[in-house]
Amino acid sequence: MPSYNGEIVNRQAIINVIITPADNTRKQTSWKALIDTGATVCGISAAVINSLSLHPKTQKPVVGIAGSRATNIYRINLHIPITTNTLVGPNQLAQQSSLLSQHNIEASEIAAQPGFDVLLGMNTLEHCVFFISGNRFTIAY
Amino acid sequence: MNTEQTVSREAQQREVERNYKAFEQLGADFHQQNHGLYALMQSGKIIELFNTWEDAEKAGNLLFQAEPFSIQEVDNTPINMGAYAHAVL
Repeated sequence: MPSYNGEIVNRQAIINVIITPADNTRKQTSWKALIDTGATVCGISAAVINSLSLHPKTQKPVVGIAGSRATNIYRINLHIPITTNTLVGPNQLAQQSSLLSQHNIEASEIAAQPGFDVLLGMNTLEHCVFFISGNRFTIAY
Repeated sequence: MNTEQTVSREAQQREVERNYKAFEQLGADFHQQNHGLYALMQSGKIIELFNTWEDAEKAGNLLFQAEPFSIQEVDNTPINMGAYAHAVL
C-alpha cells in the first residue's frame, strides 16, 4: 500500500498536498496541510481559493464557538506526493514518485492559519489508513 | 458546473447564497423525505433531485451552461471544523 511517512513537529502532522479544482484539473498548486481528525470536512484558506479561482458550489452550516453559520463549500481534487520503493531486480530497489489522490471532495472555507492553508478533515481521512507512532505519522490509501 | 470559465465568482456567490436561503426555508417533511439526495437549484428553486452530486452537476451543466446554479445536499448535519471552528470565515 503506497504511503507517506512524516514527522510530527510542534505536535502537528503537516504534509504537502497538491490541489486542483474538481472541474478544471489544468490548474494546480501546492500547499501545506494539517491532518485534523477533529474536522468533519477539509478546509481551505482564501489563498488556496484565490490561486485556483475556485467558485463556491454550495453552502452548508458550520458550527463554531459562536453557533452555526452558512459557509461556502468548494469541490477540489487532492493529491499527496509520495515516494515508493519498488523491487526492480534481485536485491535492487528503485524509488518511484506517485500521488495518493482523491477526487471531487468537499472543502470548507477557513481563515488563514500560520504554517498551513489546508485542513485534511475526516471526509478524506475516512478513506485512508492513518496512524501515529511516537513522533512520526503515516498516511496511506 | 463549468462556472470557472463562464460565470463570474460574484455571480456564483450570489446564486449560492440565494439558493441556500431558499433551501433553509424548506420544511422538515422535505428533509425527511429526501434525506441524502442532492438538489439542483437555480434562482431559489429546486429544479430536480439526484442521487449523487455528480449527476446533479452534469444536469446543471447541461441545463444552464453559462448561467450560475448550485447544488444542495439534503442533510441538516452541520460541518464541524474541530479546533479550527473559530477560524471559519
